[in-house]
Amino acid sequence: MPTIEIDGKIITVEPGLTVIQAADRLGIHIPRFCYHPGLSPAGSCRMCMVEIEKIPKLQTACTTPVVNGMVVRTDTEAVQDARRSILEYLLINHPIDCPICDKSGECLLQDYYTEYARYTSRFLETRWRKRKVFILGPTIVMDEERCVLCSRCVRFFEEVSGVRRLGIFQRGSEAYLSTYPGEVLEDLYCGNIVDICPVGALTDRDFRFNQRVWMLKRGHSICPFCARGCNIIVDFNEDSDIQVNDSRVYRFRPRFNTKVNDYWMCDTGRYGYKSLDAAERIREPLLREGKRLIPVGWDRIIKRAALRIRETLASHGPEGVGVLVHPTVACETALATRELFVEQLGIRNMSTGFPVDPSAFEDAILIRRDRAPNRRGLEMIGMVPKGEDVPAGQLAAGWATGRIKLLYVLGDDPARFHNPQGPSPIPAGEGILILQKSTAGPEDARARMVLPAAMPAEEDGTFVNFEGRVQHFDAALAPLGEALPACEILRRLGEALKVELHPECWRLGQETWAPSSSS
Amino acid sequence: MQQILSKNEVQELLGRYPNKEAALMPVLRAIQMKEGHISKEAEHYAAAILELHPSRVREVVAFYSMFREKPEGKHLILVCESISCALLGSETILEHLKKRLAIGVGETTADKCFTLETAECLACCDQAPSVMINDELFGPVTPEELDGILEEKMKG
Repeated sequence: MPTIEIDGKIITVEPGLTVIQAADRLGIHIPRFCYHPGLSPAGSCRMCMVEIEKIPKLQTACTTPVVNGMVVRTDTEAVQDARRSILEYLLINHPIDCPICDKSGECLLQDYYTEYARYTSRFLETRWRKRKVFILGPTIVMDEERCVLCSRCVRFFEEVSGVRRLGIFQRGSEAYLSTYPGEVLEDLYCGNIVDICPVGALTDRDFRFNQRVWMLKRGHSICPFCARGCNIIVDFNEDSDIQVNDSRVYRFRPRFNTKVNDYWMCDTGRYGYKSLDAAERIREPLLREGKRLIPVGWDRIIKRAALRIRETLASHGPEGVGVLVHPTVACETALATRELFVEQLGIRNMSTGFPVDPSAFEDAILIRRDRAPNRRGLEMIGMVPKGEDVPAGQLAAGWATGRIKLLYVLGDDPARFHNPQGPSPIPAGEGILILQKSTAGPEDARARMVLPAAMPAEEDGTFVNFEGRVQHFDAALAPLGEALPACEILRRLGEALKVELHPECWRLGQETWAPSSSS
Repeated sequence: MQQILSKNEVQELLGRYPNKEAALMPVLRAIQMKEGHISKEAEHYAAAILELHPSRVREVVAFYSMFREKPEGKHLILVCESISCALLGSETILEHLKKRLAIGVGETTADKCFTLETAECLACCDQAPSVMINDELFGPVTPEELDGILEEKMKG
């Protein structure tokens, strides 16, 4: 195991690591453009040059492997000078249009220039003009003048998404990034190249010009759109001067987690941020009056729901009530549901969602066939004693035939995110349908009550991904409108039903992962 | 897809290198020798035999100015513009050729016989001003001598 010294700090690392990786571990930031920890090193931008003792010339930290006894200095006069020179070259033809650049504020070129260069340009010749708005594909737009030709995006498609979709053509100042002539840039992972672009060359046509990045607040969450459970950053701004369609959330970005999604996420998840402020979001509790669902307060809807549940239990017993939990709810919601409906009310018609669509798309990168984020969590919790789980189809049939008089549905149908116009899996039924969910769907037409629930980014919770990885998340922002976190809705419902719901029944503990009814 | 190179030619070129991508430049050269230039179809053909994405092939074609993307005439005339030749009158040579062939630099005559290009040093400063036609070097040349050479090429 080689031990090396960087700026006076000693670190022992595994052989094969490069100097820049070792420096990153020490928290020493070596400036870089072409190096990205999720991609192979290219050594092309020359920004990461460092001084290494006994080597006469500066070396690129991203391609130099560590050797035992190496002494590296990252901040000497020679290094600073090299950085200044590289920046001067990069800025020869750069338009320096930061004020109108969407990447401004999260641009490495801007950061490094401010930190290391800050000179007056000595360049007197005419700058190269290139295409400023070059549409590469449905989601990505390219500004050729800003590109520093680091080739991160080229390598991303080659190494991560698996198909080489971009190339750098021509040479020197004429060089430009593009798809093969005539090809349109379409890929399920396109959005990542905007994240990794170190400058303002690649921007997202969806996010572009909607917000200045320094105005955005940042929250952490877990992507709820498939069983992978990618870790994400939620960029939002509830009180923006520039309101775009009354949006609060402006983008999702991947959050590094080597065990789940590395530095990446798919475009379905990325653009899924729109669901948080979608027009289809349910903003208030809705109660049916005749043909219409009318907004009512929480007190009234909770009282009414409790009343209907009590009535049905009294007239038809626990057999008359069914509970369908979509695997889009968090573990905490599942626990509270189990406590309220199974433990306290003795309901056994409990189903944990419809099976995975076998025809759904899946790949070997991130996207999982199972579009629900927490199926594994519900399995591990065990909503009902083993073997007593009712298949969703059977529950739906019971509801359709009228055997089940009241059906309480928790969570959103995972298929809805990917096919909003698709049919509802819940058939028509004569009884009372109560929906507790975040987004309107076709089944609302038959619902007696709709209780607006928070979406994952708006509540605390825990998802268990398909590999069994338990991932907790905190609320990034407050629920939209009158919506409440699912656990809070269940708490209020329990209160109205006058059942003793342990105030922390949804807290995940060691005993969580076994059905408590078996004891 | 049109097979530009024969199976044996491809095998010979691939056999020289440890992996297929390494044979990219020789394959492109072989294609250019056969077709005079590297068309879009040829890029796809090279990509197919080397198991590369066409954008990789295009990167290389576009990087090297001596890979030609457009069809050229039967004879490619390169006029050296570097210092020795410039001092000894390459400018006059170039102007003469432009007038005589009635084309500009980078263009091809209507009869597809000649393409005119300038070149950086042809490494024959001792024979300045020098001109290269296809793989044949001429120098030192005068406009009159060039006329004779062109006549011959047109016949040949």
